[in-house]
Amino acid sequence: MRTFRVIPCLCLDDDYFVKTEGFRAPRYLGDPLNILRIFNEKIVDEIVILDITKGRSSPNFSLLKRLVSQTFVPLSYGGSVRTFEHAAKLINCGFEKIIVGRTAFQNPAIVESIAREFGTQAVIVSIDILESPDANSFVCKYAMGQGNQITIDEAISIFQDLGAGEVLLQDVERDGRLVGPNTKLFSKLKEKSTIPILYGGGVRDIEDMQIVKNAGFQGVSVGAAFVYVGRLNGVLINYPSQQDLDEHLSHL
Amino acid sequence: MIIGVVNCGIGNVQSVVNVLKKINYQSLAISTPDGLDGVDAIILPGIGNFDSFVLRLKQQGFWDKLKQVIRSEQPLIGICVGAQVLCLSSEEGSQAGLGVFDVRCKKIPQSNIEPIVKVPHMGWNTISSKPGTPKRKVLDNRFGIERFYFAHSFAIPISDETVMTSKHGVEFSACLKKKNIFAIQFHPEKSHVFGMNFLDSIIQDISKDSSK
Repeated sequence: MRTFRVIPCLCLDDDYFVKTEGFRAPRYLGDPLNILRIFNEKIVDEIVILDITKGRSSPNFSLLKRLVSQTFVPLSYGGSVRTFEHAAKLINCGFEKIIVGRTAFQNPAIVESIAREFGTQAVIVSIDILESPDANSFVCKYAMGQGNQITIDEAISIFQDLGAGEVLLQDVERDGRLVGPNTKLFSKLKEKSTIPILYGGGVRDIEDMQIVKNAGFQGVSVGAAFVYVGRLNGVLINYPSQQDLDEHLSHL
Repeated sequence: MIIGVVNCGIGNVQSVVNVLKKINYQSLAISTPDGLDGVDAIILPGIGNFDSFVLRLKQQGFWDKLKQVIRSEQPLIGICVGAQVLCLSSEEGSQAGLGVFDVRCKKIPQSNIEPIVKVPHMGWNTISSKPGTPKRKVLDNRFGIERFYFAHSFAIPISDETVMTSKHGVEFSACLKKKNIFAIQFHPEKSHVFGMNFLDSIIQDISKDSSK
């Protein structure tokens, strides 16, 4: 059985799905209901929806409720989850897992409060990663609490202790650029977590997914490769066949 | 036939309502205990911590109602933590469960040496069925191997009432059955065609039993 998960990651900008580069410069992909319907038909392992709309202060619940009605695979949501009440409402809408990113760094207690009510399996902390200016190490994009810079390993351990059921490491600069996963980052991690860790950033194809799996991750989040095709990046929703995934990504 | 989906404020009620509609069952999200009186079967969905879930059911008056449902043998299906509260208790908390199944939920042992086991158990997994599992339709080959979506840190050990098992480091109960009560550890509402097919089979099974 394949336990490694291959997860399409879709960004919402207002009412549409877009694809970004470095989580900036959104390019229109299409109507989210249609796109989700296609991924749903392909029985993808799981879907991550990230709302990147500028200036949003809470999730767009009315849109999200419509999106959930079309999707019968696991769904996680991140973006403007600022309070425990936001998380509770999202779970009631039909999301199983709530992703907290910047808010988890600013207000770590939110991780604890979601886990206490909904269980640790309902909280994912996403850690945005940047290369340090000397290009020799990697840092978390956000400081912890009132400005403490911590290492990625420290962040994983802190959030795990607070009750995160999963961590998503996102290499911000690789987003949308189809340049392959960050193997340099993988070699620097001393990851000793007891919870699943996912990676996202730059993944192009099944070979890249194998690299991520062999580095010890439990799943991979994929953006551009599942919405673009060809050298000109024409928009075409795609996902590998179950047979291909099972053949290349199963544990022996 | 009308299926009542318990809405106590913790749980992905809407996903369950959506999947029931997809497989052509009429359902209602029910927010008050009395609402369960007129329904033919009850689903108790759950995404929650064991104690928080029990306390929420108690606060809303569902706890005593569910005891009554169990005594009167009204068909009942618990999902995830909704399945775990049908057991005696859980290592996740100190509250007592409803005790339909004579077993205590345990933390899944984690391991960082091979074979690596990360907890929560998160993702799709296969199951083995024992005699007593309702018969499911055979699905088209193109969907691939039958698999279900799991997301849990605590599991129900195997007991006499276990009808399906799965494995994540250790073997545990994926589904238990006692008369017309089912406890399902995975999320059929999020397991696409496999989950729809499975839910359909158990709803058929409990409605057959209750019409006897």
